Amino acid sequence: MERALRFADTVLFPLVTVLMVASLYFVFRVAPNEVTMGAVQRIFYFHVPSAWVAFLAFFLVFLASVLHLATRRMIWDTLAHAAAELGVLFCGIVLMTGPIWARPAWGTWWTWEARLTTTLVLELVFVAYLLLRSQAESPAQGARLAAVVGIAGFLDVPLIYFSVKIWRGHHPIVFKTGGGEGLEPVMLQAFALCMVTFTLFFILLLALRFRLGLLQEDLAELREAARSGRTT
Amino acid sequence: MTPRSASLTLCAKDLRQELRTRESFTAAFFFALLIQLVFGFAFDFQDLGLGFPDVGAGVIWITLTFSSILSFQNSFLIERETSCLTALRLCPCEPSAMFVGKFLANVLFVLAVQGVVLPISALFFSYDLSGVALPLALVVAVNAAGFSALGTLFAAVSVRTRRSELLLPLLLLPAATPIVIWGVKATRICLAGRGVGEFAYLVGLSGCFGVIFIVAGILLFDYVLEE
Repeated sequence: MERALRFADTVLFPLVTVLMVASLYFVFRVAPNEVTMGAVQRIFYFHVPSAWVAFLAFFLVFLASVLHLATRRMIWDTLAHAAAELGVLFCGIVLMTGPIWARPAWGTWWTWEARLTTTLVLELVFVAYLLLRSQAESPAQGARLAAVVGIAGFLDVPLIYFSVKIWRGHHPIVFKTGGGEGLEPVMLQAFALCMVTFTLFFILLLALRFRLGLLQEDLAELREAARSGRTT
Repeated sequence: MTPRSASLTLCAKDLRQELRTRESFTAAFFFALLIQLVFGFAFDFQDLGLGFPDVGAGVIWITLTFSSILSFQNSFLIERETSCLTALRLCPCEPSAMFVGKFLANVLFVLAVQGVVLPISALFFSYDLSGVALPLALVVAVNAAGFSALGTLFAAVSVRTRRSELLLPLLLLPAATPIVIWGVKATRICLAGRGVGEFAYLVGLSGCFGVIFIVAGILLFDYVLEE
């Protein structure tokens, strides 16, 4: 564990720094301007990777929650907490960059399209999850309750997406993500680079936040020990 | 005690308690009426010429979701107040049976409130419900069950925290998005009186939602009750 966390400091941090600079260079200097949308299309090099990372984070919350309930080890709860915070952060980035792009591209800040609406609902589900954590009476209880909500929340994701899709009926497909068709090779390269960078960036942040969580637990234990007059 | 009899006992206990005090029903009922009132002021239906088929689905589902939250909360607050939650935990029965009992009581409760409120909302619009009574009852029952499954689980979660009253709506409303969407859509079809196939499809989806979260509740309730 210690070694893995040190790996984040020694290898991942410099690597992500270099990759992030390279990504910015690719996005702003190498990738060409999109013909119809112009410069604003470049926001997608950050928007889509953020969305991917957010979903990855929420999936991790689910996994860690299941593992916590199965093994009762607090370490999984610390991981779930860290992943949830980052999920909310990256989901927030998606929700902010989306409208900035949508305004010039679609002529509107917001549209109740399935993917957008699902992202918004998901953000709200996991904000409530974080609020729940802050309201728990004891860390162990908070961990259990959060795990229950984390699991139920994740089970809900496909249902929410499906329901919003039905709600919008035959909505015109406004844009396609991911698919490489029509994407310039250079654009694809920039996009792939950004995906890798953001994924590693997420892992780095997760490692840092995870370590912070472990330190917070240690501190709480020390405080408790000090209060009860024991020497450790 | 078998899980089934434990569930039924708990459900009967909740209903008996409610019949004697009528606290929760009165609160949920008047809250539901107040929502109708605010609706009346917020959207001037008469002046705008909107009828029940246009806005009824919205009125029904906003009323149901918000007033039900009150009932879900209360079903666990009454247990917490007198430390009955501890007593329940000591019961020699499966926690999952307790979930089912609470869930059943909540569904019956939500339906009882809606049974009174729905005709009143139709009355406010001078709309005759008799033609659509059966399909409407079906939509409300199936969706109320799905909503109660998730609501019972999350109410049990939130009641274990410091500020349970604040937390439950925040947890439940976004997670219940599918129920609200499918409920509204099916109700609208029902009030418009056409689209049997889609109606059945939507009700089926809501049923699936209910089944998923009843199973999730049964599996997870143990962890919620633990001290």
